[in-house]
Amino acid sequence: MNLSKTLKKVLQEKKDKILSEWFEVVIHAYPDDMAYFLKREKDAFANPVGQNIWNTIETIYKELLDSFDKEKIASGIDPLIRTRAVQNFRASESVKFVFSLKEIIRNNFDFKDEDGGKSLYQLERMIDEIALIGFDIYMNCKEKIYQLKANHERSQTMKLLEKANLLCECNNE
Amino acid sequence: MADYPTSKELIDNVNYKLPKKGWMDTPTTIRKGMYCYAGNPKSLETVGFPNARQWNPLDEDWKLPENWQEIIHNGFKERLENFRSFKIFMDICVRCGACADKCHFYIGTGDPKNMPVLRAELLRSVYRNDFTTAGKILGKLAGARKLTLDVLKEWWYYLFQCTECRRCSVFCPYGIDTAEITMMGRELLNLLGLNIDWIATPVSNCYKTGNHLGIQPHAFKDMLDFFVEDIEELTGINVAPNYNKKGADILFITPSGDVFADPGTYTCMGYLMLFHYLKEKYGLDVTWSTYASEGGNFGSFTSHEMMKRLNSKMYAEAKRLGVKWIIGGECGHMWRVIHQYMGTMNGPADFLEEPVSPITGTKFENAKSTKMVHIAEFTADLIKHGKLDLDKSRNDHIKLTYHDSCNPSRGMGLLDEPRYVIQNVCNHFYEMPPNTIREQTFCCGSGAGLNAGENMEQRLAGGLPRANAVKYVHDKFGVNMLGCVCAIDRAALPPLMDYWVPGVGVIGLHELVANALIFPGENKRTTDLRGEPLLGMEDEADE
Ligand code: SF4
Ligand code: SF4
Repeated sequence: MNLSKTLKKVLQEKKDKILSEWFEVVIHAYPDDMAYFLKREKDAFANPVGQNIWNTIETIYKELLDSFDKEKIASGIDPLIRTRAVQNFRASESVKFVFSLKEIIRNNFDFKDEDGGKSLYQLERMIDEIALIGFDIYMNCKEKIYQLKANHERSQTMKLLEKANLLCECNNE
Repeated sequence: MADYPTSKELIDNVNYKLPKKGWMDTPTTIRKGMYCYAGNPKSLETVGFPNARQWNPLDEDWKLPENWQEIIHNGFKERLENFRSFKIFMDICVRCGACADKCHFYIGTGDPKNMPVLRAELLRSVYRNDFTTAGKILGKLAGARKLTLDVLKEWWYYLFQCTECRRCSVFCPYGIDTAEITMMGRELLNLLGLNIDWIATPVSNCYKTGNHLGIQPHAFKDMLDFFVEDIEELTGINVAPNYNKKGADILFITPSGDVFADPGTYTCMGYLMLFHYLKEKYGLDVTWSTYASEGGNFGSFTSHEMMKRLNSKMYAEAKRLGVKWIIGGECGHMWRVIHQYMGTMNGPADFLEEPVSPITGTKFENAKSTKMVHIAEFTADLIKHGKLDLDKSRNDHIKLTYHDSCNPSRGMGLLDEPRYVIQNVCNHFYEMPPNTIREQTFCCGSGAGLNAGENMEQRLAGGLPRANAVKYVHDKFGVNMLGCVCAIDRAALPPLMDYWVPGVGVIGLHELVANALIFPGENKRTTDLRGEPLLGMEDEADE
């Protein structure tokens, strides 16, 4: 998959504008106070979620223009999706931000002038592809969480109690 | 062209957005993964907590006593009168917001009610309504509100989303400690039997059998004996400890997590090895107790009375055994209680001696009243005086960073001692960024009784800022171990790492010490305490 030269050029030129618009959309998935904090606090350690958002959208954008390497996209999108998987976002809400890029780019580029919408079609297919990668990661994260939940009790005590044959002792009833 | 939503519509469609109303009008929904199961009624009964019953936080009916509002009002009043700090904290917040974005739960969940200032406002709004003239007259205009059932539920939900870590207090110009406000709020909730099981049952177990799992004395001993066997296999040295030995010099108390849960068990082996070494070399006589078999004070997550009851057991045992003073292991909340409350609560412990290290002669001035010395301080002092024979290179397979556990760091100021020990037992040590360590350390996300399984999402979100800083040193320096001095950390950080930074393990300080400690006449070590090959010994370790 590859974008037309003209589109790439425009996307390159308008990179800052598009990214900052995209960032706005992503942070407004959070309550206003939080959105403000995500934007204002620049220290990556005081504001890890804001940092994840920036890194994620930057990586995705770069890959759209560049080699569209699926592995790089996956590792780029991972931190943000991983965060959302523990933040009570539904799967759809967690991945929604990817689709919003379509609208933002469309507002910044006149596709009709270029090739009758062919490049738009191409671009949207690529963005869909990214979203699908995001869905997979979301599911993996959820599975991981359930696995951690299931392991919780065992990891607290069971291994050693079993070893020492003490299991009957820990029955509370 | 297809009818795509605009970015603005996209923004508006996301359900996660806070309505533009004030926080008081934003209803609270108790979400799965973000709360812990209710306390088992049997556990509440054991310690005489009120309103023991089966209840479910997701149910409409929380089965409260009829006069619950009166109970809270009177409980509030009593505490305002008894605890001056509580009264001041209710009055002086100027809502400057300096604390707002400093809480790991706010940063990680994005929920505004996890801002420390709003967490405190949960109580403060009711305080204004019930106890201030302005609040009584102006109501909402003065930030006051009545305690309704919804408000009570909101209290429960958000007071159990605070790990009492005190990070927010570091940034408050007035020194308001939201952790203390949470403690008071939880006390009030306990008056109605509103607790969580991961606190209630450990409290009951600690009260009945001395440790949070309810392990009986003989089983406790079996576990330690089991470690003794493992250590003998590794080193050829028998480090069998004293149990309940009357007239020993020192009583050693550690959280039971060290005895029963990996990877704390390796820290526990570390203690056993250190004390044996000191016995052989310097004649130090330390005893363990199968009765005071828990340092962690789960009572502190319920009420000051319960905290006092559990704390007193350690001192009763020290008295019974007639030891001179106490060494405490790598625990979190035990130290908060000892350092901040013990002196006036059950202390001063005048029947014990002021702690002086018999090996170095160092007087532990800071433990003058409590008579209890932190093992990191004790060990740092031994190293400083050249009393331990150490081979740092035995930890060369470890690239370490250090998590300042909230309670020892912010609750008692233990910042440099663990680092001093680390520098002496480890060649590869990398600090995380300055605004995530020492006084500003980020909580593991599971403290103050929140270390359960059912609230995993809450724990992973709360631990995000901590994990993020670990990830940084992992990516930059190849860090593969996260050191700490707290048993809750040793239980809570492994899943946190597993989720956010796979490839980073968790290790206690005294496991590192024991890896490095050279015993006279020991077997050549090819592995560490966990059986992992030492650097350059991969072939020999396989044999
Ligand atoms: S004490 Fe810790 S968990 Fe509680 S509000 Fe303050 S920063 Fe948050
Ligand atoms: S920093 Fe202190 S005074 Fe400011 S809002 Fe927070 S608690 Fe209130």
